[in-house]
Amino acid sequence: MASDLDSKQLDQLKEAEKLAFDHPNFFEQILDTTISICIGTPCNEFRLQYQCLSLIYKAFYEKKIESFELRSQQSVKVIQLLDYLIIRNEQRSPNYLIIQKCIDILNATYDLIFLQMVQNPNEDEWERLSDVKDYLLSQWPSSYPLQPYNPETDLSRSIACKTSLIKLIGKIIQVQLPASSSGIDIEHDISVSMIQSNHPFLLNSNLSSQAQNLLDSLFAVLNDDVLLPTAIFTTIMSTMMTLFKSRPKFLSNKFIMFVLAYESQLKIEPRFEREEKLKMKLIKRFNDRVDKCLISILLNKGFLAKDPGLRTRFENKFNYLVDKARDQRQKGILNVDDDDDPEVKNIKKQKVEAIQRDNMLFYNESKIARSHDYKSIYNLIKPNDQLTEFDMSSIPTDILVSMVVTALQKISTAKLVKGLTIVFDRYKDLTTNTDTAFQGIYLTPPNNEGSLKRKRTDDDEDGVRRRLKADTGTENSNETDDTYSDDELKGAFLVPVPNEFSLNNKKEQLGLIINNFVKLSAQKVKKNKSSLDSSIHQNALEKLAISNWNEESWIKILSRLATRGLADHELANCMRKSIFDYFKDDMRNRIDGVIEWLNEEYYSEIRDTTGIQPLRDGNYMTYCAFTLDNLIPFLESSDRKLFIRLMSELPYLDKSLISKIRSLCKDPVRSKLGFQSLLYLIMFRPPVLNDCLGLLTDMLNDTSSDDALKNECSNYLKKYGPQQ
Amino acid sequence: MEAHKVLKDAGYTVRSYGTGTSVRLPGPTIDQPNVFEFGTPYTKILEKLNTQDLKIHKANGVLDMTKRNIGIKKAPERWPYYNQPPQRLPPSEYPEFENELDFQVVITCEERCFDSVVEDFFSRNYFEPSQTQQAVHCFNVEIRDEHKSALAGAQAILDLARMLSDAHAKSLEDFSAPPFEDKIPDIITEWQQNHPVTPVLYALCYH
Repeated sequence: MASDLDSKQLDQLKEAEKLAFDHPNFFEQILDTTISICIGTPCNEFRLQYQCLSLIYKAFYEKKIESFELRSQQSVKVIQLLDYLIIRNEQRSPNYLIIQKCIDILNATYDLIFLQMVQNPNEDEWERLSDVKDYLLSQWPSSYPLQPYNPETDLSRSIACKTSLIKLIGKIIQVQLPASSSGIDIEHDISVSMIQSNHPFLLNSNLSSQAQNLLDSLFAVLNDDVLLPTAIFTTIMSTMMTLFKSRPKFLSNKFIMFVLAYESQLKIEPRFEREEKLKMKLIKRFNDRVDKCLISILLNKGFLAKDPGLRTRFENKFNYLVDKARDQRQKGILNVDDDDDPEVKNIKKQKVEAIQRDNMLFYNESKIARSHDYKSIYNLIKPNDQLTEFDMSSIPTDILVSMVVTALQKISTAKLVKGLTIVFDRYKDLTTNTDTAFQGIYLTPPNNEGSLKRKRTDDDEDGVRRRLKADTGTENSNETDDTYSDDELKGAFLVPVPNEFSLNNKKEQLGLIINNFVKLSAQKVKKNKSSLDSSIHQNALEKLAISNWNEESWIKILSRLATRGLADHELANCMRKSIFDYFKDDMRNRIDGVIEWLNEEYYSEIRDTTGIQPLRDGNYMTYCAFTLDNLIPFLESSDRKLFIRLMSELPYLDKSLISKIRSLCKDPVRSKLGFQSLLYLIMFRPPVLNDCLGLLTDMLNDTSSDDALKNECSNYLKKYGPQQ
Repeated sequence: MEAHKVLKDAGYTVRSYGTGTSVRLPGPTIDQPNVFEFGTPYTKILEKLNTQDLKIHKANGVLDMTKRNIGIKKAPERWPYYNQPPQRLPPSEYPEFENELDFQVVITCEERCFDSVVEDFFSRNYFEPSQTQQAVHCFNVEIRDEHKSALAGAQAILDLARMLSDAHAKSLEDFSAPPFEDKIPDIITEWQQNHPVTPVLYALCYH
């Protein structure tokens, strides 16, 4: 029902999107409705939220709404949405694709909102936008919104959100640094140059300073010693190219010199990816090629025409990269190794040592345990490392102790403290953050590293507190914001879905269940007839198989589970085997259970058929035969009552089962027991009369039968089967 | 064009361009290549070839290649370089494309073509700063320009396309999987291991 509703809403949103783009005069109304739906949609309704964002993304990012004025006028409305999805939603597991779309939307609207703020100042909205912006900028260059591992590894994670963030940083730099041209093209170059000196809250110097810091942070990442993934490297380069045109005086020199000086082979591989040599070689090759393309543009588009000296250096670098690429191609990428050059090797070694001195890393430095178990609290290594599967408890204690002592002797104090601090933080998070740690998870796209909860830093919390204060202190603040109680923010609550068992797991668990039931048989049960019991007896329509628990009740449960409760035949047969094995251990004293179980087997076999005859190779016949085979050899003459009871209460007997009495009749010591059983069957089970007489006849005609046996058979036949 | 055909047959939405200034095919002699402008229909190219020494064109495979190309598209097109006059088929030929650069992935078959494409994207970043938001993953799969290599190279490109599209589809279906873009370096590495003699290049560009 819910999914029908969802798909209906999705269709409606798609129709609305088409309408908005075909008839932009409806855009404002549709945008308002879409934002309301998106904010009113629980976070677990990811597809609905995504569809809402898709409309806004297309309108602003893809500029499906062509009118600059219309986009600009409506841009301020997205602040509320971004604030909700990025700041307010942050405590829950933010969905990766939602966050990426949000960053792109902020990128597409930042300059438009800025322009609105210049023309129609609204300090509250600007504050709110600044909070969102500052929060996102604080995440650069982390693995946001994925849970972090360590700074080096995180550079290669969450690439899509990172590239979106780089483009956003580029846009912020462009807007917050003054435009170079005097004739301002409003649509293409919105900047702080537009701010009037008497603007109530936009301060040119503050904004420019932030932009300059952001530019420095981009260069800092580029100049870092760690090799950047190609997608990040090319995205920064592409952003730099844009800024090179629009804000040349702030970065021209730095950018040109970076392109000239870039040497992928001098970069060191992220610490935990060094074994992946081919991947690292490829990334270096790709980055070098991008650098070569940039040099080619700078050389061929006349950027270096005024400085012949610089041009020559660029030409030399270009030729060097061409030769390097040719060399790689000739040798084959799999056979090239930069570290063959002793000078390069030495430089990299020094860099690695310097970094290691200053910065000890564990692969998994997350301050939040990734799942609610002890393993994840202590795990500091790669999640896919085979070592994570190793069961330390299997190591003898003395070896474990010596391992720990050796480790403690070898590790530096600082690294040990860092490792213990991470573990401590995880404990603290699990024990203090009752919101998610011990109460299951909120329904989001399945629990994963792509949507794991991220903790807010102290700075961020301050930011939110400020935001909330601003909201409550402003009479005109949007009412929708104030309507979100904590409960609503939590969304639908679900217990985590357990992993599905394999067949072997199921067998293992089934074995445990059976063993537990068998243990119950050994316990004395205090008889307690409840009033409920009498009422049940009065009402036949409500008869229950077990109204009071007794020592034998478990047989009823297990036999019914085997015959009617398990769809998987293999599991059902496992259970039958376990039941039989239990009876086999002491058949004499457990005959009641045997009879009850075999009756259940018979009933379940014939209840869906019209006849009374079970299958020859069915479970009933098989286990009847097993039972007799296991019982008869151990019967003694004194077991007359027990055996006759069994033969009388088994619901179905045929010739093959009755013939098993032959061994009793032929045994001189227990012959009486055999004939008494036959006599009982002849007299009280007419359906098996002929089978009994047949057995007597067979024994009479059997040459191996002695005279006494033949006489006995003859007497019985004369009396009960004169026609035989 | 072999790669275009193989990808199209595999169900991908494909568009192909040349990056040079004109279409050059072997002519009657080594120093007399057949040169055509982009946009010249393959039927006209075939007509011209038919007027020349057919034995040579059959031997070097140009005749068969042109006939094959007629079944793929009407005419060769030139990469839509920034600020250069278009030499391409009308948009009505490609209703599934919003514009001539409406790609998620661009695959070139020679390093110089890769350079041309990446440089063009960087030029757009510089000259059209307000229009450079759409990401496109650019790859080069180096293929020697002869028939046999083209057949093998097209299959290698199809392998790459499948690995990328499978990973992309999985990331949309299964939110527990790592995001698609995070998997690209591993996909390229795996692909390169499977095709060690075909050097690959990659860049993430914007237009």
